[in-house]
Amino acid sequence: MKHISKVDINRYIDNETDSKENIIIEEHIKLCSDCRQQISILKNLNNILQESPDAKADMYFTTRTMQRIKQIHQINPIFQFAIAAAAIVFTIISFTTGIYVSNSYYSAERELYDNVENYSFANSTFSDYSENSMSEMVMSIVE
Amino acid sequence: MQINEQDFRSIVEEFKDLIFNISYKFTSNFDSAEDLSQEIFTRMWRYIDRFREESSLKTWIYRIAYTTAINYSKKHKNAFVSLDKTSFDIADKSTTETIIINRELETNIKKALSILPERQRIAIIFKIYDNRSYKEISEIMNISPKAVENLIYRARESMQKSLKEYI
Repeated sequence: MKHISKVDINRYIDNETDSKENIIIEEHIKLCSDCRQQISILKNLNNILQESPDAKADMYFTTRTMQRIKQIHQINPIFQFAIAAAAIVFTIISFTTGIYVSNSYYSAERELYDNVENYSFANSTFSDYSENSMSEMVMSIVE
Repeated sequence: MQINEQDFRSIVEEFKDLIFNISYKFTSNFDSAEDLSQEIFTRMWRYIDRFREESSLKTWIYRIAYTTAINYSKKHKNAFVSLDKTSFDIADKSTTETIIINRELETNIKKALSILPERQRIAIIFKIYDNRSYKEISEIMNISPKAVENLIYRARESMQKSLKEYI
């Protein structure tokens, strides 16, 4: 006779088996003392675990918990001021750095443009040059 | 979900015993249970605006309790090994002999629970002490019902060995 698996016995104890499975298990345990014993052991285990009394929070638990929440989530005013000051300083630094970088980039671009304009290929246009000679021209300007 | 302090206080009042009991079963220690319960409610307060009411408030609270308990256990490894006074000391009014037997049994239940891996422990606690279905536990733990089935099966196998003299 094939025994009921231990996993299925657990499901049966926990009322997780469907009605069809219940019929099969109940018919089986009428004839199988091993499985019947296994079910009895697990039911006993459940009973002794459930006999262990529930622990209850005392009457001041809610007050203590709310105080703890306030302590954790309340931000110190000095800390709040420090955060605000740091944010302002960061914004100013970002803004000024941004202007400086943008100005530097514009100046460099302008300088390169002027150099190209003053270059001695006065009678030629860029399109007259092949790709290689164009890069040679740019390299000579950079140098 | 937007909530004010007064409403949140009512939630704490409503669920404190449930959360405290789960915490106690999980840590086997009153001081750790108090600490863990408060941490669960603190986390709830922090994330309550993320509760979209897609699940019930109770399921959401269980989910917070689960993640907080797992994190707490990692953070305080070995902190709740010392098993303190039993609930029987406070709750039971039976004879001295019964108290002694009950106390011994409860201490052994605590030991049996405390040696389980965290996920097995929390799954069996949800099943035994709050009679959650495998599907509900799977939603709380964000795993499949099959995985819950395995966790509970393995937890029972282990507890069966630990408590064999009482079964």
